[in-house]
Amino acid sequence: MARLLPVLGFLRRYKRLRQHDIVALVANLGGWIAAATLTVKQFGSSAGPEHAALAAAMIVGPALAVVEGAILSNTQRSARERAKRTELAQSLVEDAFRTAVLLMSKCPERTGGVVYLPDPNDADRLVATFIHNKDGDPSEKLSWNKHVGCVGHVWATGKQHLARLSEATAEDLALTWKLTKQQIALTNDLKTILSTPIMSPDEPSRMVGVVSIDCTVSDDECDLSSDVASERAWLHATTVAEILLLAELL
Amino acid sequence: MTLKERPGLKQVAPGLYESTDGRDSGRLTHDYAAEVRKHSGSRVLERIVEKAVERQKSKAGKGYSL
Repeated sequence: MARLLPVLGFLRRYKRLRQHDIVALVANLGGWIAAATLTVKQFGSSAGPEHAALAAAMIVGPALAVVEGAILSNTQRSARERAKRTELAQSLVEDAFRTAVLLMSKCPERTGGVVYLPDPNDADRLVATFIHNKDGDPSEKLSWNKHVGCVGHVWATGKQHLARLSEATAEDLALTWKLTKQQIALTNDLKTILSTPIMSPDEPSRMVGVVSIDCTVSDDECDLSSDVASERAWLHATTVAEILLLAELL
Repeated sequence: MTLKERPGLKQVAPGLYESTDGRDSGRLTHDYAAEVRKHSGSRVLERIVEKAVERQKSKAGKGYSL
């Protein structure tokens, strides 16, 4: 079964074919089959297995080329469309962050946020998709795998997590949190992080991403560990999910 | 009460705490929609939250719940 998995993964690419691609493929197949049949018939009774193989190649070769071309074209188009929808959703997510940060943090000017969504090329990895109040912040370079960092723990467990980085040593960050040297360097200025799962509005048991609110001051000052902040973070995550659904980013 | 002893929070690593609470608090309400309008000034976002509240209510009426 395990050997079949790569094959199944490969076949999943064919979901990217659209209806008009299939119509074009079927129309072309008719022509290729006719051409292959005529070619074999020219040899009459002397046609052997090599001619049958040639005929099959005349059908399968062009068909594969058309399908692969369509997949490539559709993949590129989907990426462009997704980028446009992300851009349109940006201002709504910004507004949602503005509300959430004001309601959650006692230091809103020192508090920022990031919405992490699965990497289109690697569904197990989260990448920063929307960033709030982090001018020049390196968050967009950050990505998280399951169980790595505060975001990765949420992505793995589906539970809200709070990080108080003043309580963790550099050794803890490397060994227990599984952060790389680059990740430690890029998040060095953060003191408190509250990460919450984003659940699909249509399928509430399906996690679609993680929203992270972080602060450059300690939890004692920003109070992100309070029950109120936790509750507001859930509301914010649900609001973000609604925006993502509307923008067809789920 | 320290953070390590607070109900609803379980320490899973040095400085990292996992919430053990459910997520019923993620249910949007009309009050939150009003807060969104007040703090962000966005009527569009307020409307999105309102629509989500209505949708949640209609699903709850059909035996659907978060």
